[in-house]
Amino acid sequence: MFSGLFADWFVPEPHGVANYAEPRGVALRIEGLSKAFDGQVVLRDISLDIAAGETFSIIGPSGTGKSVLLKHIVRLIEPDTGSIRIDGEDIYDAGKGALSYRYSMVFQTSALFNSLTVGENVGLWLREKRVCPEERIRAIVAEKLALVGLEGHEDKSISELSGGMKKRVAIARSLAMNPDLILYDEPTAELDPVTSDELAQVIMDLKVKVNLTTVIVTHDLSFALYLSDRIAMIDGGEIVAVGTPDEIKNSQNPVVRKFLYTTTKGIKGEF
Amino acid sequence: MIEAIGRQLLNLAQTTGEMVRLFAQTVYFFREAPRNLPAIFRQTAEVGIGTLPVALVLALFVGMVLALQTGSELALYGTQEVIGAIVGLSMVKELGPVMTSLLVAGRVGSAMAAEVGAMQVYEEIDALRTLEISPVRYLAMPRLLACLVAVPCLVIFAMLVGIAGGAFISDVNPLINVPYNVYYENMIRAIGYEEILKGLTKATVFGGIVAHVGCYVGFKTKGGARGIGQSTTRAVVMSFVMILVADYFLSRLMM
Repeated sequence: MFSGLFADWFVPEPHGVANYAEPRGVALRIEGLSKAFDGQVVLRDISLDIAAGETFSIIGPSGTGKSVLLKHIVRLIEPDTGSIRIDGEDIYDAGKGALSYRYSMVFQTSALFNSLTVGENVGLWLREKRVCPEERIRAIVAEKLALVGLEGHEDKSISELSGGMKKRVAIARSLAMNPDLILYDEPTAELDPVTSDELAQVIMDLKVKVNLTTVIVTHDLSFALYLSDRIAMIDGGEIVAVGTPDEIKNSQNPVVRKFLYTTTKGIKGEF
Repeated sequence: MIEAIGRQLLNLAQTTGEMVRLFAQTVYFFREAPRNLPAIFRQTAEVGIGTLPVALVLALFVGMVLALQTGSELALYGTQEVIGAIVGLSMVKELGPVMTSLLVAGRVGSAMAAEVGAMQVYEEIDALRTLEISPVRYLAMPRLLACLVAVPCLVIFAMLVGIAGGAFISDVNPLINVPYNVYYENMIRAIGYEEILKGLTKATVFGGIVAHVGCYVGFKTKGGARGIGQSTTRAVVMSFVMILVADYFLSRLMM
């Protein structure tokens, strides 16, 4: 009866300094993962292999379980059945804090803390985990903000930022952990096409500069096609297609064709 | 009918279980207090300094009304000299702790529920968890500690101001006409350290209730702006009920 809220919150935080190694990119294997809420199946027998260092997008219409899948990978939700292995390690068997890799997630709403400045948001994990001295933390914050094109914005408050800037601060906050795996939940939601393109460029640059595995959940097809090494399409809680951007574009799967058609019907020619 | 009652009982059991679990987690993280001192001081200032002016005005008028109503009745029988003892005991044992805590619940508990609730709705709590930062340690522990410290301090001020208000009315009101020295002599005879300690114990418990309920309701918030609004109301109502119930049992226990 009491297995719901707070059940997995009793997390004794490890004392002392956290490990702060360079990111290395990790391999992700999802096997037979299913999840239902109040009897309604949201994910059904999901199996995926994502290679180390790969940029992998999960596309599909709204309400098909994409974000739920992402929350499983960062252990915010536990599956009813199935497993997720990262570099061979079952993420649900490992105790919290005992994982051999670091992950971070950029949320759809950015999820920045309004009571903190940009610099404090980016440096939050470093300060809370006492990763290094304050001087070094400031240098890391400046470096991560520069990576997303926001150098010198440390002292700004969150309310001063545009939607696109908030997303970039959220990315910088994630990068401050030096994650081996970074996950983006609908990164272009509520952004105009120009800002979406700028954000795509930021993620593209990171792909070149930082060795990490990237998983993106989006219903923005052009964003996924531009960035991804491979794409999976999810519909009705099931994976219906997996392939490279070219394979997805040329897929004859009717569900994929319909998604491609409805999301590009205003654009002539390409499909 | 029976099914509905059963469902309500199950909900009550679940809420109780979750509240106990959250309380245990929050107390566990007290050991992390030294490295969260800035957050604890910020919360303490918000609860204490932020509430102080309203608490003092409230206590002043409660003391004055108490003296006016009780004193004028006592004057009919010529026993108004004991007004100091009555106002003093009421302020120290009951009105000071209860009224101040209800005020803190309305002002601070609701704000805590709204703030934590908004963080829940806008995924900030999920973000904390992915950053491997315990939301209980980061959000609930500083708030609980702040209320445990600030509410008794507020109550001390409320007691003093309420007693002073009663003394002023007793002295200047011609119906009562009890001079300051008589008022204070009677009051000091009636109030010992034990009474003050009992009042402050109640204040500490009530302060804990306000913070704990505010955080619990905040963490349980669902939905958008409407959910946050509902949580705010729920936190105030739950705190009021729990403070009054706890007041009875604490009074009974301390008799």
